[in-house]
This record gives sequence, C-alpha cells and structure tokens, in this order.
Amino acid sequence: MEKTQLYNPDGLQLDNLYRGLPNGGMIEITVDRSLLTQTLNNLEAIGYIAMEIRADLPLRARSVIKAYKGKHGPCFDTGRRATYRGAALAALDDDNHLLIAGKERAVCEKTATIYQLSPFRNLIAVKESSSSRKASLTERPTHFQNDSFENDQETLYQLVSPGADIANRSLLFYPGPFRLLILADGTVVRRGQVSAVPQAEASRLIKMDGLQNATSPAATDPEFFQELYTSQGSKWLVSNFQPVEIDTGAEDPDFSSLRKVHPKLKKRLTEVIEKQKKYFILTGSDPLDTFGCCPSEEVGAANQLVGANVLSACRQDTGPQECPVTIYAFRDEIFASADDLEFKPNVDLRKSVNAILRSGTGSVSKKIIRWILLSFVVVSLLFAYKNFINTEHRQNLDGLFSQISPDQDDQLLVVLFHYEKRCPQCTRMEFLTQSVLQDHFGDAVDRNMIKFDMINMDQIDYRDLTRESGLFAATMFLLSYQQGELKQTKILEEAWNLYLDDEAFKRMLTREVNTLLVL
Amino acid sequence: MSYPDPLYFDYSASTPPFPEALEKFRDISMRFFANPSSRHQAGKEARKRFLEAKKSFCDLLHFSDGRVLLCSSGTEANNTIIEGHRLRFPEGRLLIAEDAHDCIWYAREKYPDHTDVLDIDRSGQIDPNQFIETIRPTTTLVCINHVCNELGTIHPVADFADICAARGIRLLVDGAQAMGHIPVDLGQIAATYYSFSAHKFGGPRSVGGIFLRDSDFEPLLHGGRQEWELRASTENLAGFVATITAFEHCLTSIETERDRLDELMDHFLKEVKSEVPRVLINSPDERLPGFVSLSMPGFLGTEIVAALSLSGHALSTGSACHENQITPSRVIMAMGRSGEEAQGTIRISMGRGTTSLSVQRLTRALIEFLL
Repeated sequence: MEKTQLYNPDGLQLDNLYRGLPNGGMIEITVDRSLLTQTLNNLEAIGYIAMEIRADLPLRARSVIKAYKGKHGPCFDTGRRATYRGAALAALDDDNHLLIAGKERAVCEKTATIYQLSPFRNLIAVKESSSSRKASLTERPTHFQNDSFENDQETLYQLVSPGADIANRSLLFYPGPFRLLILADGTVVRRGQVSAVPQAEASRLIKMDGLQNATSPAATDPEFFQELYTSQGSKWLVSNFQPVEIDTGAEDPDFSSLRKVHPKLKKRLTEVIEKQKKYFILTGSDPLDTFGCCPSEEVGAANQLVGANVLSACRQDTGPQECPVTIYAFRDEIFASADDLEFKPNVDLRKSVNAILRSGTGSVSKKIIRWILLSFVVVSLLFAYKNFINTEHRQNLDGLFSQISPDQDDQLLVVLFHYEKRCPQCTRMEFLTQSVLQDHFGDAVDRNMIKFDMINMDQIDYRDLTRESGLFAATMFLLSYQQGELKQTKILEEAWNLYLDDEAFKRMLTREVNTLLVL
Repeated sequence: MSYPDPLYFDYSASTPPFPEALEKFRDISMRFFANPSSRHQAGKEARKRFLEAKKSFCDLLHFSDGRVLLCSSGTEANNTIIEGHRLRFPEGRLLIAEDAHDCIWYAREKYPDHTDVLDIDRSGQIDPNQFIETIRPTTTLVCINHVCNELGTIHPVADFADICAARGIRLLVDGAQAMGHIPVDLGQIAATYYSFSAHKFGGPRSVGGIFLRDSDFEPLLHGGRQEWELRASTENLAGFVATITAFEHCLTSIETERDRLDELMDHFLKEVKSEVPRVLINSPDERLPGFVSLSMPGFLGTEIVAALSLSGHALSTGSACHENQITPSRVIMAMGRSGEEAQGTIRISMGRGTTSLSVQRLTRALIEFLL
C-alpha cells in the first residue's frame, strides 16, 4: 500500500496525489482545524473514500486525515457479501452504498476489496467468495448488477423509530470512515462534524464506531433521516450531486414504449404515480454501454423511455468508471439548475401513463393472431423439446451445470438458457419469471436466497457445452445449492407449454420454486 | 510553400504544428522558465502551472483515476512501459498485436522467449474471442494500437481493456495515431497505460506521454525525482502546455474534420479505383478519417513515393519509422497479401492542410503514374 503525507494541501494538490495513487493506496494529510470541512469536501469531490480523521486530534488546532483511493474500475460479481457491524442503524459509504446494520448485502469484488481496507476492518464483515466464483473472474467475468439504492432507503425508512428525545443528547464527533451514519431514531451523523446523538446510544457509538466526546464547536440542530427522506426523497443521500441533464427530443411521448416495459420498472413507475413521488433513482449503467459500471436492465429500460420522450432524466456527473446514479422523472418534470434539481409535476402525462400501465395494451385481434402463430411454433418446438427431455443428452447437463456457481452456499438459481438472438417466447419467459420472483419471492431474492440468471448459449464458455448437452432452444432450469453443492436440478419442462398463459406459467413457477426451497 | 502544404499527404508520420501551440510554447517558455522542482517562488509557480496543465489535459480525455507521465516521444512512452515492465516482472509474458508499431514490436525480437503475438485477421482486425484465447495464465502485459499506423484500423480497445481488467492483466494502448483524430474517452477505456505523441496531432516535437493507471514498472531514466520518480529529467512545461493547446484545437473540429476528410478520401478512392481497378485497398472500411493504405501489384511502393515526390506530393510506403526498409511490411503480409502486393504498398494520410484541389492533383498524378 502506498502512503503519502502533506500539510494543508489545496484541491489541485489532492487531485494530483489521487491520480498517482493505486487502488487501495492511501494519503495522510495534516490540515488546520479551519480547513477541515473544506478539505473533506475536496477529498469527496475528487473521489477519495474512507476518510478517517485521526481520533486523538479532532478538535485541536490541526487534524490528520487519512484517505484512500479505490472506487474507480469495473464492478465484477464474485458473489461477495458484506454486513455492517457497527452501532448505528445504517452507514453510507463514499460510493453510495447504504449498509443496514446486521443485514447482509451483495457487493461487487471492488467494493468487497475496499471493505477490507483497515478503516472498515472492524466495522464490516466481508464474506469471501467461493474458489469457483473467484476463478470466474479470470475465466468468465460477469458484471455486477444490484441496484438497491432506493429499496435500501425504503427499508431504512421502515426501520427507523421516530420519536427522538431532543433533550437528552450527547455531543459526539464522528471521525469516519463512513460518509454518514444513521441512528435508530433517524439522527444523521456526518463525518467530520459534531452531532448531538441520543445519550443512550453514545457509549456504543464511541466503542464500536469510534465516535469521540466533544464539547465544542457546538453541534447544529440534529438532522433526521425520515425528515430528509420525506422532504427530498432518496436523492438526498447521493453525495456531491452535480446533475447533468439528459436531452430528450421535442417529439410527443411515444406511449407504445410502455407496452413492453420491464416489470420492475413498471412497478416503479406505478409507485411514483400512486405515491405522487417526484422522481425515482437508479444506479448502474445502461447495458448498451458495454463498458459501463454495474449494467442494469432497469436503467436500460428507463433510458428507452427517455428516448421515447416519456421520461426525463438527470445523471450525476460522476467520474468515469464510477457507478452512475441517474434520477428519472416524467417528461419535463425535472430540471437541472446550477447545483441542484427542480421538479414540476406533469399531471396530464402522469394520468396518461397510469392509464396505459393499468390497462395493458394491444388489440384483441392482434393478440389472437400472434397467439395462433406462436402456438404453431411452440407445438413444433415442444415436439423436439420432449425428445430432448427423454434422451441421453440429459446426462451431459452435468458438464453444463459445472460452469455455473452460486453467489452463496445456500441458493436457488433460476436459470434461463437462451441464444444471442432472443425469440419472443424466450423474452416472455424472462418477463414472467422476473414477475414471479419479484411478486412472490421478493424477500428471498433480496436476501439472495433466490437468484435469476440468464446464460447466453452463444457465449464462448457455453457454446460447446450446450451443444454437447443437446440444448437447442431457450430452456429453464432450477438449480438448488446447499452448502455450495448442487443438490437438486429441475428442468422446467412446462415453461414452453405455459408461456402464453401468464397465470398458469406463474402458478407453475411458484410451485416449482416453492418445492425446491422447501427441500 | 503554403502552410500547411496542401500536397502533404503524410499526416500519420507527422503533422504541422498549430501556430497557436507554438505561440503558447513561446509564451510559457518565457513566463514559466523556472525549474518546477525548484523551491523558490518562480519554481513553485512553474510547478503549479504544470499541475494545472496536467489536470486540464486529463479532464479533456475524461481521465480521472490516473496520472499523465510526460516524456519525449511516443516511442519513449511505449519503451518505458515495456522495458519497465520487463524489469519489474521478468517472468511475465508480453502479448503484442501483430500490427503494433515498431516501438512496441521490437520487444518480440528482444524478448523472444517471453513474447506472444496477437494475430490480426485478413481485414486487419483483432477478434476479441481469439484475443481471449491467446491470453496465457502467465501473460502480464498486452500491447495494442488504438489505431494501426499502417492500415488505419480502429481497434475496439475499450473491449480489450475490459477483458484485461477482469483478468488483472495490464494493457498498454498505443494511442499515437488516435489522439486528436478520433474521439478518445479514457474514462471508457480501462487501459492501464495509454500513450500519445504530440507531433501526431499538431503539437510540438519531442513531447509524448503516457496516461497511467498504475506505476508498477521500473523507470528508464534515473537521476531525478521528477514525475513521481518514474522519469528523471526536468519537465517540459512549455512543450506540454503547447501540446494541450494543439489537442484543444483538434477537439473543436474533430467531427467536421472527420466528415471533410472522409469525403475527400471517398472521392480519391472512387477515382483511383475506376481508373486503376487492380489497386487493392488494405485499410478496412472503418478506419481513421482521411487515411488509406493501398497496394499496387507490379509496382514498388518506394518507386511510387519517389515518383510522386517529384511533383511535390508527400506520401509514404507505410510506417515512417521503417520507410527506408526494403522488406515488405509485416502488417500488410499478415493480412494475407503476397510479397509483391506488400512491396507495392503506399500510405496516404490527409489532414488539415489537405484540400479538394490537392486531392485532385494527387489523384491525377497517381493515376498517370500507374497507367
């Protein structure tokens, strides 16, 4: 690890130092007390993470700050998981990850590496990935996908116990490394500042998170998460939000784009309308951006709606190779001002979108014709498919399954094998599966006990194995892992029979998933 | 001779500097002549100007997670990485693209036991799947062009960078022919090292550099603590600021120049192909604007260059760095051309001084010579 020391550096010097640091590298700087806040702001803006203000010097004339580099670079999924073990209810790091105490969350390999740096070592438990997942990094790297930014805040909102006792408070200084902590009553504790925290929690915060007693300077009035969240929405947690407006066209909204909207996005749009939210936030990049950090299908779907002039968007002016944060609102509802966002409701558009989302689309006659044509294809494929199910090819599936590994020891993988060129049946099965998992197994999915995986059979790693296994069409499997071992497999033979009947498909999948979950 | 010379068709070898860049060179040389390493006020001011320049250059390329190391040329930049890497990781293997410039390709002859070659296909491209298959467990450094200096091929280096990043392999991208000519966004190209040369885009001579995302290599030059001790030598502040000025000029017209040069090149190729059907176009369709490599079976490239030079036209047979060699180009041969075809290769690269009139003159002169 590299370490550099400096006294009262300005932004240019800090930028220069940052550029020279390797990932995981650290600088140690000494700053006059009067420059502490400004320097912390500079460090955050440049991209430093895990800033720690030396414990024994917070309120003296000078402070020593340690800061690290590490959030740049692509995010790969190796099945790593992290749990915050401090005394606060939640902690927010410098890369917009909200960690709720005691709740394990999936993190990318890069973030897991950051959490193993010394400032986090006693605060975050990081689960190692299995050797096969580690090997996947060099053999078959997969981008990390886990956009939980808004959900995490919603969860936190449910967990906070308001009714704070403003009178009985202790003044504590928070030296980091998190950007901020949120306490059980919602009190927000910011790094580098003195906060008034409930007396009952003070000793645990001192012991577990390294906060220090302080008498001066006086703390400002306490801030509460629930107030900030309800008044500003989830964007208040995004650090240094410098919005960049994404251009939309001058044409009228193309409402047909809502017909095949991603189920998660559909749910989100409905929620925005029904709860009269101003916007929603997605993290991650558009999958069309091959090299974007944390590709997210939902971001891709939302961007399509921006292209169709249904939504407007502002993205955070993040550095390259940082996970992008984008704020979406309905068209013409969001405006980037100098350093913040303004919102103006577009009531008519919301009404139109709501009507379309609720009604479903497509004329009956078109649907009937499509169904007849599709049925013909399906019958042909079913015939071939049944042959496959009953042949020796099935024995070769072991080789195919050996290429797949779970994120965690106990997990049920719902896997859809597909070709590069997707057929409507395959995309329908994907859509229905996403809906089932979200509607019926949301909690298990959040806890990563169930994971939906899509595997492209045209990918070089799978091409030969799928050929050997005899797979010739989009096929769904359930793979049940216990203690890292593959214990049960199930080919969802009925998927092809039922994909035209939403309810039957959902019932079938729910039943099969439940069966393997119980096992 | 007017400036820039309209009959100059060798912009890939070197470009005329922007007058504004030379003016900036003069201005900075006079005002910030002090050594940026000196402790006195003048030295500190030079140092501050130097850091500001570095930050602004990095910002222009959206490069926020690494630093730029200045050196004296693109060749020095590439040599610094290869030699420095070899010293630091003597057991590691180098993987070098077949169409790399000689300042990278030399490593194949110097370190034959530690070098593998990444083939180009018959269209001059590198297949990403083949790239993955060529990587060995012991590969530690991959070296590729962003734009091939002989064919003008634009490689998908962001793809390759992603492949390397996932596998923890360092990637050196030679951007000498790309910077200033096509959009380069280093935020999207996760290369470990990206090198450039200022005189290829209207900057002054003897300024090159490398955008670094790590510094795991031994320095070539010793005897000073400049550039984080990665390259000893007093920093060329004036040259660097002039380089940035030139680069900014390129950025302001990069799209209009692309369209203009594409149009001129299309016109040129259409005329030549209609009059001399046997001419072979080596460059792929997707290539550097205003650039083409042609082969004329039955002719020597050197012969064509010399003949057209008599009428004032300046073009080359391929890489300017082996202009005097008589062996056929390895890059053209790698595309499956015969020795005779490779020998008859010329490279035409247009730039800011190229006009439709000058292209017409070149077209006539070339056709007359070949018929």
